[in-house]
Amino acid sequence: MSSQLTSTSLITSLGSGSAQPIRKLTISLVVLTLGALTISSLLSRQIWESNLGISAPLIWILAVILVTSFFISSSVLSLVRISGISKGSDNLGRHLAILPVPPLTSWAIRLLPSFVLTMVIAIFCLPLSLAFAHAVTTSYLLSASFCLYGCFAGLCFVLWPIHHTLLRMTKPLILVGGTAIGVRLLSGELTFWHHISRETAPYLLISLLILPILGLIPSYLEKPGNYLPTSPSLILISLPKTTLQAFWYVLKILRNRSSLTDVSFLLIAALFLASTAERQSAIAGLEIIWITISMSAAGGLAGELRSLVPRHKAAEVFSLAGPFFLIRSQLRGSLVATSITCLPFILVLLHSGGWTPAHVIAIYLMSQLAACSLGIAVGSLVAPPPRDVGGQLLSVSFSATACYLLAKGAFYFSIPVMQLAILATSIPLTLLASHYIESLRIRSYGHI
Amino acid sequence: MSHLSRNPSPLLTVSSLVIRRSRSFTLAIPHFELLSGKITSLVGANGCGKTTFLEGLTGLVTPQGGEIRINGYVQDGRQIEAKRHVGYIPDDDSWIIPELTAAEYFKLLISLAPKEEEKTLEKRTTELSSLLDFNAIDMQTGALSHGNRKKVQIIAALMRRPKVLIVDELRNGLDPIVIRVAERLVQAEAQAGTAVLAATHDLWWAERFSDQVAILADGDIVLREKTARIQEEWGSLENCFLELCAGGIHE
Repeated sequence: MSSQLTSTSLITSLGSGSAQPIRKLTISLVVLTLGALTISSLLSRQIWESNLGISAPLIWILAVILVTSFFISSSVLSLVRISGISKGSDNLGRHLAILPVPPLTSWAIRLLPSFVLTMVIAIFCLPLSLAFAHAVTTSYLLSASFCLYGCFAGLCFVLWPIHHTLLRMTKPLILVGGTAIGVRLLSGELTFWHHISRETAPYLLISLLILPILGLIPSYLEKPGNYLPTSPSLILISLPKTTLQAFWYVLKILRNRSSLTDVSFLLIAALFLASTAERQSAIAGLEIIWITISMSAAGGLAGELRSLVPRHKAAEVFSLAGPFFLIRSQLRGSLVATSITCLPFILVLLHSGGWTPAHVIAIYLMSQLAACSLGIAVGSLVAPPPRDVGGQLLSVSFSATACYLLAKGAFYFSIPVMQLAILATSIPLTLLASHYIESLRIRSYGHI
Repeated sequence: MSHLSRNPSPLLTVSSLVIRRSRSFTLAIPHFELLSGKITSLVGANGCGKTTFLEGLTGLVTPQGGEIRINGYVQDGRQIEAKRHVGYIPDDDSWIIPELTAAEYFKLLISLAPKEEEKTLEKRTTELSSLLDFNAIDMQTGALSHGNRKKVQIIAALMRRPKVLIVDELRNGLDPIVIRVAERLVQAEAQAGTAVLAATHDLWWAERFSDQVAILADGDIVLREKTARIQEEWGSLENCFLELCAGGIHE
């Protein structure tokens, strides 16, 4: 495999949109790796020091590690649109389609960026699995092997080439739904299927997670750059052709396959989390944690939506009503998207009865607005171009982290009025910051 | 030594080709061939399938039926030998790798050739850059002007001396001096035995530049004839085109 092809593959996926792509690639990888290591170390320390009090057979523990690492890996890779890279619909993919590159090399080159990101995810998962192995006193080597395999299986699952929008949207459903069933099987909650006991469930899950590996075969057989529409999308056809000017960004989100997949994925994940928490009665008393989770999810989604318009010379800015129009539209779009994806959270918060409905609604609405505004500000700053996976990942992780910190700051105070005041103050500040960044980008375009 | 012979042999043959672009458009070409040493212009109305046809020939899109052979090798998008013999100059100026400088881009292409050819290709790249007056070699291709991107695409396609050269709107974006140079370069390739297919909307240019013309209409080649013969029969390629594609609308 030529070193030029290898570096080009990484540069085009993780270093694009920069005048110094190698520098951007290096920074992206260093920041992502360090970020993954830091968060993982913090979480691992808590697991390491905790007495989980789990007494379970080795196979059950390995199945838990496998399912968890598979879920983390496939979720992250799905969300950063790795499927776009594996399809090779980018410039390098088109070149690979016509250049004299052996099919195996071409496939490896298309796979490389996804594989590198999987390694970063493995760096995040590995310390967690080792800490878990320590907490339940089991084999480190086996835990690490199952964790690495889980990450790899997640990659293979994402690599399954699916061109039909409806089928693409079932992927997150399979992913989250499958994981939900897996978790319930392991916890012994599913009793309707008598053939599967708590003892046999781990074997079944481990066997099932061999299946994603088969995704490597169609991804190898798929030709790079073959961007002919193979099946027209029912969703795109059934979308309205016109919309109110205020909601054009919502239509833009719906027309974009990747953002539509992201929204559906987050919705399904939120449904799974909220229903699990509701069943385990883990809402009352933990309202702030659930608000923080919903803020991070909303911020991450809002931070990614900037990639729907070009980084520079966006027609939306030049041909329509300028940067503030773009920001307003993004805010409306992200509010609509996050109000759908985070709906399960507000429902369980209202149902738990820990806070009064007025309190829940006020805090929830303000926190969503603040998270979207902050996400848009971070998105404006990073402004990942379409298909810039590294930029999108940075934008999503920075936005989610910024929202987490904002939530920490706001909920540091126990008085609801103070919490609301802090969240409300952040909204105009972050929107003004977005406007300033976009205006600066327009003014500095073409200058070094 | 030139591989041009007295009876030019087909370097590209298409048989029973079917490419379904959408539900409403299918390209279906029963037979087509490109001869060694000949320049064939491909003309047709907007949306008649020119670009789809070119993308099928280059291996970019997979046909739903039929066969394309390049220098005897099946072009199925995976055969490395078929790909080795095709050069493609696209009309789309995004057909570059914007993150790479022109020098890095050429280096990438050279790295895909057999080791023993590397020196020759480097020399050829320098020679073509000089002829096309391309001196932005260290700039990122994404930051190049439209014309300079076209020069990069021409150099990239011609450096390997392909046996089949597919050209989409050669003159777009180039200044008159560079147009002349680019035309001479393509003609020189044809004289050395390359089969050239040049898609264009400029009928006057097609008439002047090519040995034969193929007219594509409604997803099929409706005419493939020597340029001289077309001029003899219709007076000009424009008359012929309007007759076949617009039912004599010029009248």
